[in-house]
Amino acid sequence: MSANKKQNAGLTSLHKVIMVGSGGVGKSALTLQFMYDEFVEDYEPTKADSYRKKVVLDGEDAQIDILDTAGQEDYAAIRDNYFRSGEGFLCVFSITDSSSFDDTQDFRDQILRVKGVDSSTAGSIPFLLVGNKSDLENNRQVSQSDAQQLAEKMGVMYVETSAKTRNNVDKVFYDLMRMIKQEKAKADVSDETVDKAKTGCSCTLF
Amino acid sequence: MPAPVVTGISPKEGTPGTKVTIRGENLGQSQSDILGVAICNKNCSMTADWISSSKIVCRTSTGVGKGDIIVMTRSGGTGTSTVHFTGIELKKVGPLESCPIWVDETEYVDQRLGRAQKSKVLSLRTDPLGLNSEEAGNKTQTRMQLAELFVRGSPDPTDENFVPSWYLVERHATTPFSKLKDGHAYMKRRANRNTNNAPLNHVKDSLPVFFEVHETLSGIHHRMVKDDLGSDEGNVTERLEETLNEASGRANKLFDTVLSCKDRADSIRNTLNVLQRFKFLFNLPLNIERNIQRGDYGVVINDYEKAKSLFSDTDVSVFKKVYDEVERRVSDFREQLKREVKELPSPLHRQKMLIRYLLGLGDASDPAWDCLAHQHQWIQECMMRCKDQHLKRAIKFAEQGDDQSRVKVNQDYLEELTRIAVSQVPEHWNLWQHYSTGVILSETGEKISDVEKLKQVASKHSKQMKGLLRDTVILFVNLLRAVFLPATLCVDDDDDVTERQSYGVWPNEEPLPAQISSDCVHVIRQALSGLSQLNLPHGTLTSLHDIIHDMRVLSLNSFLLEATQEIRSLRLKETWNVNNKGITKLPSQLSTVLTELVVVVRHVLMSLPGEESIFARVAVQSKITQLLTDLFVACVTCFEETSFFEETESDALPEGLPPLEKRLLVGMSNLSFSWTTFVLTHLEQFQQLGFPNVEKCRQVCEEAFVELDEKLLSAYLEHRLEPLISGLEQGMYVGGFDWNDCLKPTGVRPYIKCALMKIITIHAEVFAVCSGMVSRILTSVVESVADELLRLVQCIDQISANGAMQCRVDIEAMEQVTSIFKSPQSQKSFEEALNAVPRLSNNSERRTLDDLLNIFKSIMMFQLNRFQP
Repeated sequence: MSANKKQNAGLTSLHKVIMVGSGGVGKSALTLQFMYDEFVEDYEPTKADSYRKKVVLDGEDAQIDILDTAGQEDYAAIRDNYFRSGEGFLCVFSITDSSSFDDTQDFRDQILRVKGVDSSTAGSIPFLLVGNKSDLENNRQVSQSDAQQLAEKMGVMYVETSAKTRNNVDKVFYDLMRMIKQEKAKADVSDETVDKAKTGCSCTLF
Repeated sequence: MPAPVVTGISPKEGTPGTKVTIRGENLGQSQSDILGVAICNKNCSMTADWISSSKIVCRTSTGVGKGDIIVMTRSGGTGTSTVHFTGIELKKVGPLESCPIWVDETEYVDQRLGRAQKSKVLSLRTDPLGLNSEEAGNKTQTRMQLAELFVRGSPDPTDENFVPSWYLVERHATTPFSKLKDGHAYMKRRANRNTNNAPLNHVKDSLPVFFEVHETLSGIHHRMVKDDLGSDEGNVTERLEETLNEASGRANKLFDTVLSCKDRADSIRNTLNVLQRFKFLFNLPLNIERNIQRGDYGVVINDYEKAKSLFSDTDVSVFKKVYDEVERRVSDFREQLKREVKELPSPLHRQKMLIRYLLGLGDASDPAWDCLAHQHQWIQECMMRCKDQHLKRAIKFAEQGDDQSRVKVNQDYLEELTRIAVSQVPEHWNLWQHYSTGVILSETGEKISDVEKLKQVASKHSKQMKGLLRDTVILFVNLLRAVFLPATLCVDDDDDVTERQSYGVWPNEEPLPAQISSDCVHVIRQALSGLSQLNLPHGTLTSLHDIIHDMRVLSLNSFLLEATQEIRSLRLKETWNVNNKGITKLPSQLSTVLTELVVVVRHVLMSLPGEESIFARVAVQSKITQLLTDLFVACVTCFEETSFFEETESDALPEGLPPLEKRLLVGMSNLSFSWTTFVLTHLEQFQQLGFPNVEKCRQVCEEAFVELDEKLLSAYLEHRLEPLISGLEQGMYVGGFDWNDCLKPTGVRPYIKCALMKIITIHAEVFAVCSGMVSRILTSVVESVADELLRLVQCIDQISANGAMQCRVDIEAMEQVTSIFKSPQSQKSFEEALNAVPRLSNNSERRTLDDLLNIFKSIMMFQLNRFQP
């Protein structure tokens, strides 16, 4: 099993990121800006989009797989399945829309439920709270301190981004990938300790 | 360009016909670069809409399950994808349901017909276990829980998903196990009974049911009869039928609108689907129009080829109609292209492109050949037009008498015509080569079969093409001949005046100035060298070679003629300023003319490689010999005319014209100077230049020189000697002198002195002109004087001794004084004259005579100094 893991590590690792958040907060815009350096002006509700690309993360080749989900309530039912497959989450709200900020708590709860963790182990889920549309400072409805407070309550990091100006876009994706990578490393270590325990036993037998 | 990579798909799953946005890298450079798009192994190329090299929008096809998104481009080949699309099968589409894709409705049987209504007639009257089951109180709640427990099942024994456990739990939750055992035995019993005589038992068991049915049927019958009797009109079934019909009619009326709406909806949807699916075809006419306007001819051809392969043999009338429209537009486009091809002049690459487009559009005719033929015609028209323009101007100038402008027009014409030939013929020929090698169709070697076909077609035309080229060159040559060599312009049919006229009848004097023909040779040579680089077919440029040869001969002729003319005119420029050698400017002017001629002629004679030598033809040889001879004879004539300047031409007599005698002397001097200094040299130069028969020419020339020399001498002597000779006789007998009766001589008689003085005058005159000629002329003079003296002495009838003495003194004085100019003939004449006089009788007389001579010589010493050697 450990051999397998090492082989996998030799290949490029794949980090699965899920974009969550209410409709129209700019999940797709963030994704397209990150993927293709492209800012899409016209709004077309997403159903479920999939993107994958090669990145260099801390000097290592890696692949990021982004699942851009639907924000609209119509699609709430199918979210569970998507959340199950995700390794990290960017929970996006719009700083110009306070209701989208209010929704973030629900998304957080849904993720924790699907992942089967309670608030004590919630820290093992890579999760970033993202306040998008920071370029529209004039229309701000969610103050930075409110968001920061919520993030602290959740035990996560809060970052403000702008898909339009590309401000912090790379940062949120790369930060999240690093978190995913750390979590994976932890899991490997725990796996290996199990392995070692086993091999240790067999050693003592001989 | 690297292969396309799909890195994004939006959305990542959907039913067939879902509009998806494909994102990635290198997804082609244009719509036409996209060769195909496949999603889940199903081709979606038809709907693929290229947005940018990182974005394509298309609709999914019928692929089901998770699969790759593959983009294939011309520039990058087949691509890969890092994301997947999940196709969801489309189960069915209701008739009133909206659906984004084409649904073949024959495949989808209306499910409503097959939907069997489950019969609920059989109900459980008894417990199959034969137990009196009391049902639990809180029924609903348990049922809910049970439903959750047994997901796929039913507690109903008549249901096909019957789950016995559920039934037991529901019905017999509280029944003791022993009772259940009894129930089991009961069921077994019943089952056994059923198997033995089942039908009978069944009837027995169901007897109450039969009764019930019978009762019900009787009741219905009874009431029907009652209704029947109670009704006013007819049978109840009739009324029923009427009612049913009415109801049906009303129903129809009610649903007609809905149904028609549905039909229309169907047809609209079908149409929409068709439109969507064959958007390409339906938009094609408009697209063609737009692309033509935009100039994207390549796209039009691609589209047309695509449409042709897809729809050319379609049976669907709508497609036919649209395709016909497409065909019509394409044929219009073809016509437009053909017109554009014929718009000349246009650069070669553009013509090639247009022809390629025409070929790409499947033009049935041979557009390249049409174009070539047209271009040929156009070149000819250009030349004719050029001719007409310049001819008109030339005629105008000729009428105005403006020769300089007229000659200028000739040069302009030559240059313009040559420019046309040199610029257009290569284009023409290159186009042909591209056509014949098939390059015109494809520069990169694609479409080999088409190229081969084209080559075959082209090879049929190769002879014609050669003919066209030759025609063009011949026309070019003939037009030039019409201007510069009208005499050599040969027409097929001599009587055909129009053809001769078509080349232009120019108001030129004959012959042309030599410099022009020389320039003309230069220009045509340039044209020839330009054209011969093209590797034109053999024999095409023969006529061009011919005209160059003819022009060269012409220019040589003209140069010689012009030189001759100039030499003739030189006599008017004579200034009669004699230098110390007795030469005027005339010989040097002649020499200059000849030297210049040699330079020019050398230039003309220089043959380029591949050109025939001018003297290669015999007719040319004799003509040139004649001209050369004329040239040198003209020199002689010039001297002659200069010397014998007729008084009749006195109008133009220049100031300070010297007397005839001097002119004769100068003429002789010039003549001999010319002959010795430069005429021979120039003749030799001409010989070196390869002129034929120069030796013959030299002979003729020499004869002319000698003849003129003698003529001048005799004319001079005639003029000078006449007074001298006649003066002798007069002087001899002046004052009634008689030889027979004279005194003893006291000295030389005056007539001799007078004659001597005249000789001295001649001497002085000749010496003043040219000292070299003195002896020659004076010898002749002395000869004539001696001759005359002899005649006079012989004529004396009687002579006395004194007379004889006197005569001897005179003759000897003359002889001795002129002794340095004596010639055998004069010597002889003097001797005979002395012999004719009676001899001296003694030595004393001789002495006296010598004394007299000495006295004479001493007296005349100054005068006679001339005659001292």
